[in-house]
Amino acid sequence: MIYESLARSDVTHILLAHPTQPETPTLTWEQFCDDYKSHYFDNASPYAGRCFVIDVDGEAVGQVNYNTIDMVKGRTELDIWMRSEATCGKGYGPDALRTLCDYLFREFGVHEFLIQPSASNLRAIRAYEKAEFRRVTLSQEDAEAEYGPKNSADSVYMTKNIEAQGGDRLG
Amino acid sequence: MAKNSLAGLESNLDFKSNMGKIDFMDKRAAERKGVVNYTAEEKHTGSPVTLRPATKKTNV
Repeated sequence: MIYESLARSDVTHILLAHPTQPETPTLTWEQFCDDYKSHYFDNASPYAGRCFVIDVDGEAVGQVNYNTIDMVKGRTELDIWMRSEATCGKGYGPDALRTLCDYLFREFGVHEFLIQPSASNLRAIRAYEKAEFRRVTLSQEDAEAEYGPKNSADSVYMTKNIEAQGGDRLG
Repeated sequence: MAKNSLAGLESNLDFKSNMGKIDFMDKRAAERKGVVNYTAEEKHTGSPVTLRPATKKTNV
């Protein structure tokens, strides 16, 4: 489901869109496995990243994952995609992001979360804003120095800081 | 009310229950059920979302 929804679904053209290419790039299984190594699918290296299936009433509606945890900065980057167009726009994504952020805060002390949507993916940006992510206000140069290179040419940095929310959700 | 949960994780949750707006199951209960659940009542959309650790099988 995770690879299929990313590479061969009716949301693939959004997820894999490239700002300088008219055609949607393809993502092979091998390329996917290069990015999402085995530790994302077992409990071998929980600090290196993990994938989760988003279930609603027992049905898989998408996936969300975190990547390597920077323990010094208490930070990790998240990725999320839904299974299909039919599962978008229902609030599942923001719920899943909040759930994962709360879990990572509790379990690993992660307090800052980064996500990099495409600037053209306004629906994703709105969803992340609902999950309390905000666009980074640093200059591009400073943002890249702080958060690393952008995932793609039109990525925007969005972050969420649980401590900055005054612990309003975490008691 | 939304009910979000992380299922099937080998968690070491030692949180007290009724921490503000989030209710955690105690560790023994979680281990017995093989599941770690919590409920967060505010800001959520009302959709019951469960995060389940993915396995390779979910990719095929």
